[in-house]
Amino acid sequence: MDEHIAGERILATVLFTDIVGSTEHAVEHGDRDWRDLLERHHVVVRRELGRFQGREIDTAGDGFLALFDAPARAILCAKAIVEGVQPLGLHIRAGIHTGETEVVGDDVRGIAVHIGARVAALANPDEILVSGTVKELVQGSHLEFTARGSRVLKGVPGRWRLFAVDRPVEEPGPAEAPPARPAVQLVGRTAELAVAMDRLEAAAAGSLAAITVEGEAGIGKTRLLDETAAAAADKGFGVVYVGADEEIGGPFYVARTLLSAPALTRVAADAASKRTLKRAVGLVSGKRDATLESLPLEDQLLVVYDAARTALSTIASRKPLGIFLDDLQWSDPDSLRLIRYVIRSEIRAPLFVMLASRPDVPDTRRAILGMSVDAERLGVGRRVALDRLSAAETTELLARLLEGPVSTKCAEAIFAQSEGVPFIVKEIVRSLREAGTVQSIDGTWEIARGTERMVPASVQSLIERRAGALSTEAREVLADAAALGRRFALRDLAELTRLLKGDSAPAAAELAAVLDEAVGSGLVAEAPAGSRHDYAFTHDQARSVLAETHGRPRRGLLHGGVVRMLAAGGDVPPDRLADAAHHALLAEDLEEGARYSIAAARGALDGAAPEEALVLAEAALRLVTDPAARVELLRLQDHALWRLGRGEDRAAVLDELGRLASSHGDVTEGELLRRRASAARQVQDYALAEELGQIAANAAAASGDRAAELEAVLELGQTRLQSALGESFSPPPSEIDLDAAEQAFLRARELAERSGDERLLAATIRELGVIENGRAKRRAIELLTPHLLEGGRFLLPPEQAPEWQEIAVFQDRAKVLLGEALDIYERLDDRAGVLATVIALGYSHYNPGVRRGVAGVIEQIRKLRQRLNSMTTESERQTDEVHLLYSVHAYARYYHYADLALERGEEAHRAARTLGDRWMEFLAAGGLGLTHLEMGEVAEAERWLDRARAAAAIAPTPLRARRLELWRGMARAVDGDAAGALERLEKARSLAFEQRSRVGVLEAAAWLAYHSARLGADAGDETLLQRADAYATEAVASSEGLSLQIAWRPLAIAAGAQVALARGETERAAGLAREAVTVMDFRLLEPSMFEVLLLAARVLEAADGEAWDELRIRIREDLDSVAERNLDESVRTRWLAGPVQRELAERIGDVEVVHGAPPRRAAPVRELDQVEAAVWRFVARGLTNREIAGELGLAERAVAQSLKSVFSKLGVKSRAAATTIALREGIA
Amino acid sequence: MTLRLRIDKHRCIGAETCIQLAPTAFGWDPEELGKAVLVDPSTVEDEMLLEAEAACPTGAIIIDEAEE
Repeated sequence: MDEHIAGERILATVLFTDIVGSTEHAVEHGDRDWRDLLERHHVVVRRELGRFQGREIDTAGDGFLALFDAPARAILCAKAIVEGVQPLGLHIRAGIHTGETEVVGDDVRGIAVHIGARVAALANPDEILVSGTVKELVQGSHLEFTARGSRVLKGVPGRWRLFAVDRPVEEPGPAEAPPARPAVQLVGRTAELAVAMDRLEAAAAGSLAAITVEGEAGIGKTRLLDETAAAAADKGFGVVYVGADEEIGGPFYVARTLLSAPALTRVAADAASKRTLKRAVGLVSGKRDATLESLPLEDQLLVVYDAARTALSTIASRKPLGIFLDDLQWSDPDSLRLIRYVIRSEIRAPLFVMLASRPDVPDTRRAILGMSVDAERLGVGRRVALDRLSAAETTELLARLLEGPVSTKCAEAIFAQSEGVPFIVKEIVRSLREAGTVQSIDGTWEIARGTERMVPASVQSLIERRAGALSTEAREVLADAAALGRRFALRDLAELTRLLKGDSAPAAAELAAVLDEAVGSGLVAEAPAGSRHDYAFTHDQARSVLAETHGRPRRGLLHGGVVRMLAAGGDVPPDRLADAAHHALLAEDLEEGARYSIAAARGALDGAAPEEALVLAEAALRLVTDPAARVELLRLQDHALWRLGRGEDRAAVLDELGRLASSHGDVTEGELLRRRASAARQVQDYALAEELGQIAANAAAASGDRAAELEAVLELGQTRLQSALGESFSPPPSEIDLDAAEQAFLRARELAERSGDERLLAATIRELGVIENGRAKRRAIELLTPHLLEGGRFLLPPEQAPEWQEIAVFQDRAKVLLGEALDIYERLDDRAGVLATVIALGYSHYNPGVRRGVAGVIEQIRKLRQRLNSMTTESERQTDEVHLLYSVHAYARYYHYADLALERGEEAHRAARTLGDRWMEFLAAGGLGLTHLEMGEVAEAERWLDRARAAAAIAPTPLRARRLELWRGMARAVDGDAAGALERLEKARSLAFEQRSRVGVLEAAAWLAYHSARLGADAGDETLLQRADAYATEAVASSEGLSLQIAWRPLAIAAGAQVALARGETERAAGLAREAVTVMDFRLLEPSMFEVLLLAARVLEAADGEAWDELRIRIREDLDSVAERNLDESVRTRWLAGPVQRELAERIGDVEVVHGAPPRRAAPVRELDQVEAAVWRFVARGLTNREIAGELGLAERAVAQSLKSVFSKLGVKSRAAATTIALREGIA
Repeated sequence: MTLRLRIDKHRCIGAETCIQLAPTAFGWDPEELGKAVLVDPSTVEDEMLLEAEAACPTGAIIIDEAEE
């Protein structure tokens, strides 16, 4: 390198090192020893300078100044020196800077040298401090830095940002980045890593195996290489890691770097390896070789290739060898041919080759592709393409980078910016953290408002560097294209250029040629065939950096041009309105901007996208000043906020609307009042909402404005019912004034009828039905309370109570009203309306004694909530969807709807995995485990518990650890493994102690008591019975005074009963068994706990004939009722075969239950054929005919036909009536 | 840190999931048949309360905010 630098001004990297406390050392060691130590220090430093190709410039006693042509090597060298002198008991500080230096002879001058010295002076012992410039330049390397703030350097103008190179220091070598095991676990690359591991195994088995990894810049290729290299090292492979360089090339450059890598030299320890390697290195370095001279050129090359092959296979035959080649897209063609030769030759030695490359460098793409295809065809290689991360994976990566949970908003913002490119995610996180705009609030990372768009400096410089290499023309074209957006069509770009430049504009073909250059730079890529765009910026950061290269006026012109283009055909098409608004505002054409924003926001609201409407309105409101336009935008903003449930944010909007009202006649007092009332209702200020609504209604009535009055009374009705239209699920709570609400809705119905607004009419009628449901329930409570036993069970079925008729009157009224609403919704094909009404209809059958069909209602509520959720953002909707599925699973599990529990549990588990929601994944898997356990399916249950454990391992919490132990213990117990069960359950109990969870201790003790009593009695094991007794006593004592709802108390009492029976204390056992059942019934929870019934049955059957007769009936009812819930016959049979259920059925001698008889159904129901039954069920679940047709794959007419025959067989005339019967029969 | 939560009586349909899950934290409303109330949320982990919220089929458990 000497020839480059003599007497020139060059860009170089300077490294200063300095021994810490050298004076003290000298005093301590004495002069002679110190000189000796210094000598050894110099030896180490010079050795490392040699290895890393650093040029020693000066030695000033105990310090060195060296020059490097690549900053990364300077850093690696400094690391090696720090490490190398430590065994001498020495510590050094090091400083590195890159800048222009003047080289005169053997001396170096220039400000860069000065800066380097100042930086070194600020370093701590063993620390390598670098300037911001160095850090920027080594982007994309494996080096990590910690910011050390910005400092003033003596004698140097300005402030300088300094960074410390992170440790731990790995064993480095020239041109090989050490494969440090990454601190953050790889996210979202499970499949790819599995392929790599598979190849690694193949190599370990003794033959060559290769894998090629392709993907865009920053996608995580290097990370995958690192991870695989670490695994290879763990397996005993010698690991050689080489990266091709964008700047440096030349014949066999990469091959030379590989073969002369110190890591390879180290592996090549024996004589044969050394010899073959030396020959290969010589040949690729162009050393003259007598055997070559006589050969034709092509054969000469083959000899070189073969020498490399021989060397690698010889080395690998002694010790497994892993070669990792990164950034191969920058490789020289000779090296690629050599690597291809090696891969194609059948090497029977453990040689693993992993190649990573970007597909966007045309020079090498074909060669690399050919090599991968070759390897695949020969059966030695696999190809892997890395995609961008999904939203969920990005969230997971963020959580790992930040070491804590990340708020949805924060994750969304960073995902939107990074578009799932891991490198950019990391860069963004780094710059946000430095700027303090992400903060951990109560353990969750939040992003500050207004930081949605910012280009982190390092990414920016990366892009600028790439853009800098383009021709001026290409840069210009890209900057123009950037105005069009992330993706653009060539035709649009040509059109835009023509609009601005007139006829002198380049034609599309010319532009395409220029863009090809840009494609080579990796800044834009060709769009896939079939897309409506031709090109796309590879990343939005690239687009925004390039857009900035134009000045503001030019950008304004460009955006104006885009608006003209969009409006070329006269009107802007609806799907481009938001684009037109965006560009018009950027062009600072505020009139057009407002017009398009209003139209686009309206469209978004109509399309149930209030989020988007809000963004549009807010963007326009920041710029638009015209009062009329502002009024309209504020209305849209208010509407969007209302739809989003953000009542608290509406006040400010309405305040401005109020101010504009005085100057702007379009805004009436009435409108303001209604909006304010609705905002008050949203924040649950019902008194204010009532007052405002009342004034608005009166004023509208007085002025005869019926439309305004309708709005006002609807507002009033919702306020009085304290529930939004269509959103009340159950009869209103007791504090609601039903009469007042009814009054408002009756007026609303009248006005809606007159105005002919069917949707509002249906909504109003539905609310009136809900009000009748409320009256029915209130009367029921009043009248039936005297018939209620203390334990919460009725003396006689409520429908047989003399007062029931009175309640039925209200219910019938409700059914008529709801039926009417249902018919209108059905006609309007309004799915949400139908569902909401069907749910209310479910409550028209309210019967405190019967719970049949509730799962149907839950399912309908789930669907309605899904429907309502279409309004919120996508990720919220997905999260909620998982919760909904899980909630139905949990409900179904508690109530033994095993079929539904399995179905929804599996759906929830799948959705949680897709979303990356480990918590829900854990809960769903655990819940499924328990469901299978109830059915006695231990192996399947344990498989699910394994999945729960896997999810908890990624996101562990104390509670999860405890519950896993509890669940595992239950599984062991069901399997009859008493020792295993006790071990796990006792672990759960001791964890609960550690976690100071009294409830957790109680829960574990109760299950310990139950299972050891049951297993102990079965096996006649006195030790087990003793433990059961102890745990039962403990659980009973610690549940004293706790809520009556706890299941663990009756469970523990029942366990005590079982122990007493086994010990022959018959009387005490019977007393305890009766007590267990009574205490269980205090819970008012339905259904019974079968575990309690089981132990009670065992005891009472033996000890108390009278009580047993009573209990037998009870058990039969409970089993029947649960069996009937399971519509899926095979699941029903499996559930009945569960150990507890089967023993109960056998004890009561119920043959039908034992054999899993189908549920008993009313006669007409049995007459339906399969299609009719399906249609009926869907009707009752709130589907419209069209949807049923879709579900069943039938024509809509066929559905109508089937429905007609359902009606006639059931003897009903309407959908509502058919739904009623379905709900009653528990069909829905 | 404890969570502040409440039950929306309009939404509660008495599905009992919360009571089954955390019977010391949730219970039956003595004033209103078939609706849940908070009993003593401090007896269980926050995670359990969040689970009750997620597992409520009607979304009737509302976490307002976390307080110190």
